[in-house]
Amino acid sequence: MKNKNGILSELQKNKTKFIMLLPAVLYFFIMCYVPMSGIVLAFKNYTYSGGIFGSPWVGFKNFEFFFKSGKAFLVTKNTILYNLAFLIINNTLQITVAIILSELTNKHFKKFTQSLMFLPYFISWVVVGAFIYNLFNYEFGAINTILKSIGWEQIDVYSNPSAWKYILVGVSAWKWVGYGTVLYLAAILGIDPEIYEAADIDGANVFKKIRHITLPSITPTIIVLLLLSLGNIMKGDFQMFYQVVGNNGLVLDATDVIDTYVVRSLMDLQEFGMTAAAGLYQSVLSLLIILGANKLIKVIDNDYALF
Amino acid sequence: MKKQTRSISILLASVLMFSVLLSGCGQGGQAPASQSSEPASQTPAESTPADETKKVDTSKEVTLKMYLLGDKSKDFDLVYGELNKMLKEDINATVEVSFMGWGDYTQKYPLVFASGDEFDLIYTANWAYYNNQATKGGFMEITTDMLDTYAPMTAASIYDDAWEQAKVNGKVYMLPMNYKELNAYVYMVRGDMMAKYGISDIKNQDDFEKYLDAIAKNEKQMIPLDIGSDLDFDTLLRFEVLAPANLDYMEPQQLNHFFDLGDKSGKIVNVIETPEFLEFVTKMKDWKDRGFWSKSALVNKVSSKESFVNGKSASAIMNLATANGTYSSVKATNPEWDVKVFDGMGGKGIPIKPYIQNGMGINANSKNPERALMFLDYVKNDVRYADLVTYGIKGIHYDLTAEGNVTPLEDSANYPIDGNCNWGWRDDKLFRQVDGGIPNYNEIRNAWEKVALTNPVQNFTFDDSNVKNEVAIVTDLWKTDFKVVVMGFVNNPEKEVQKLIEKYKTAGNDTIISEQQSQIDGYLSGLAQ
Repeated sequence: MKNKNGILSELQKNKTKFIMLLPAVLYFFIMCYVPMSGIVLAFKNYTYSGGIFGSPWVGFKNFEFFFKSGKAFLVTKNTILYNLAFLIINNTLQITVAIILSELTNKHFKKFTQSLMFLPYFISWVVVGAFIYNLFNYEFGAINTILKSIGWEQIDVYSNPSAWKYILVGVSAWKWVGYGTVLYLAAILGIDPEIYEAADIDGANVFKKIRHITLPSITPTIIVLLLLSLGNIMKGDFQMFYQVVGNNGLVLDATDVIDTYVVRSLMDLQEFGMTAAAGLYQSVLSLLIILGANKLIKVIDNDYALF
Repeated sequence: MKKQTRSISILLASVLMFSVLLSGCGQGGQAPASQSSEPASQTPAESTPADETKKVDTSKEVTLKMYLLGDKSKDFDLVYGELNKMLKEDINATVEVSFMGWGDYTQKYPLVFASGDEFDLIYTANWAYYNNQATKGGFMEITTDMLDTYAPMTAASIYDDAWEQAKVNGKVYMLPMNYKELNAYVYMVRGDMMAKYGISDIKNQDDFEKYLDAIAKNEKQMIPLDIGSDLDFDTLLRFEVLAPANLDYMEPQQLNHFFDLGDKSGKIVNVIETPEFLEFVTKMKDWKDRGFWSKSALVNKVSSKESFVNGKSASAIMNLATANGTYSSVKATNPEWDVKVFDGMGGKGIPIKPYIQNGMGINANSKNPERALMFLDYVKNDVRYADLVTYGIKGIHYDLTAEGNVTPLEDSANYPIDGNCNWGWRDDKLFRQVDGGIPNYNEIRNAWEKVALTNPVQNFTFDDSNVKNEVAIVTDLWKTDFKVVVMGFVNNPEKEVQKLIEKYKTAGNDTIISEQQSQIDGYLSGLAQ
């Protein structure tokens, strides 16, 4: 009884704020929570006549293809490891570049560098895939043509699985550094300049300022961004893997992620139940990872946790 | 005051605009209704006397609405204007054509049926929703009575096989093409290279190997054979293993199951377990090592044909119809190449494609099905019509030689030969040879026709609902491990083939085979009854 009164008076007190909140709540309810009921598709044999809810139940049968193939462990491992590598390398680079840019004094050079680094973000993966092919093609690729002309041996990237680990990480960094830099740069610009002035008076050099002012000030941003990207750790960047690597059976052990595997197996079948099953598998694992990471951060410093 | 009047006038204007919009909608909705009710009331009056007298009454002029697939060519309206003049005279009708582009026909096709659109004719095929719409009741049934009355020329000439193949649950819903299309492949090579390296003729795989070898050794800036795209990575398998053993793919291709064209019992053959397959892989490894194709071929996205046309490679593999078109275009752009085409099949394993690969259906809602049939009868059987819709206007798009061959004229590009979705009414007896195409076209085709086979299993469709999981895994194997092995990217063929067989086994391929086999047996015994 007391509790109910509490909610009502809370509503009464912050009426305006709740009204402002309403559109966002409605958006997430309609766009995210209502479609979630479609998860049932993962346990159904989808037929056009039955629709999502009328189709017959098949239990866990839709998950079978994924685990029976013997590739479930491999692709899950690849997905997680690649995403972890992207996460660590991209974020480190982004933070470094953001700090360097913020310390630069030449405004034009700063803007120019920033735009140049942002550019890859706008280039479609299809085009990047074509770049890569024309770079690494054994007979006519740019790299091999140069190697041949200076008398070195050509390199055969397309039958060398381990090379792709570096190529993929490199391409991902190339594509995302500019984008992340902007986020971190915004956080750095938000730091009160008076703190820096005070540090100047105390005689701190650039590195000391970065270590003791900039980094601690942007730590909350770093953690929020890290947690948010952890949510996608089970989702392989499909476009990137598919376009850059292609259907190359020789290197798939090193490059196959959940998403590419599912597309290859199910593209011709159009089996909605089975694709939904794969999606559910990814989502459940993602949820567990986020909860785990959040818990970990809570242990370290309660203030930084997401929830 | 002034301000007020202005805002009132804006309000008025917007109200007016809105009402215009609304009335537009209203009219849009009403117009078809009134149009449709008109012919509806007249159709029975028109068709009843026709049935009685067996002489069709065409006193009322009608417009037939027809849907075709593909992209409209530049001179399409010109040609169909000509066609409509003739149609008006002969059957007092005209056709109005709408195209569904290749990009989005999969969305539009079911939509025109679902929306209750009252069109009359539509292109259909076993790959273009024929079964799907026929079972849903989208097409009007075509009976032999109807054929006799409204399409007597077709009734007399249609192949029995074609008619039988078009049956869905015992009823026919389309007029299939009356044209034997053979699914067989040729080598396309460069005559100037052959002359340069002293290769006079390519009769078989060994001659082809010599040619590729000469290119690989001497023409460093060229890829001998640029295969590897998903489109043609397995064409060599067809030449080397399938054709000699008389085998053909059982749809869907990704399952990698085959049947013997001569074996009417429909037994599934699992090629990868045969000794010929191992032999083939060994040879492909050798070819790959000798540089017959790129070391990056596994990620190649360009077909061997495209690469050949661009001058990047010295040979290509394609089917005869494609080769014919490619031949004339390369001949025009690069005459110095002296392009040559050779039969790659070795006289075996040539399937006749199902006739229902192309056809025309009549909409179940059509108000003028009899006039639609009459139209089809003319374009299928009357040489004036067939020439017009297939090759364009004589004197503008093509000319005829003394032997009756077609010579494309300059404007032919505005109405490409056999490229305007006229496939649905193709007919063997009126199909002409095109000059400027492959000189030995007839030679190759006639040789194939003599040995071409048709097998009832070709029309069988596999219901995979019991083995979906296995099918998904095998589909993935086809695109990855199978492709790697078939293109010779292996170190030890024997071991790798054994590994591939194991992988197929773990994937549950045997379960698929037994399921598919039992369905085929049921299908064949159903046909026998």
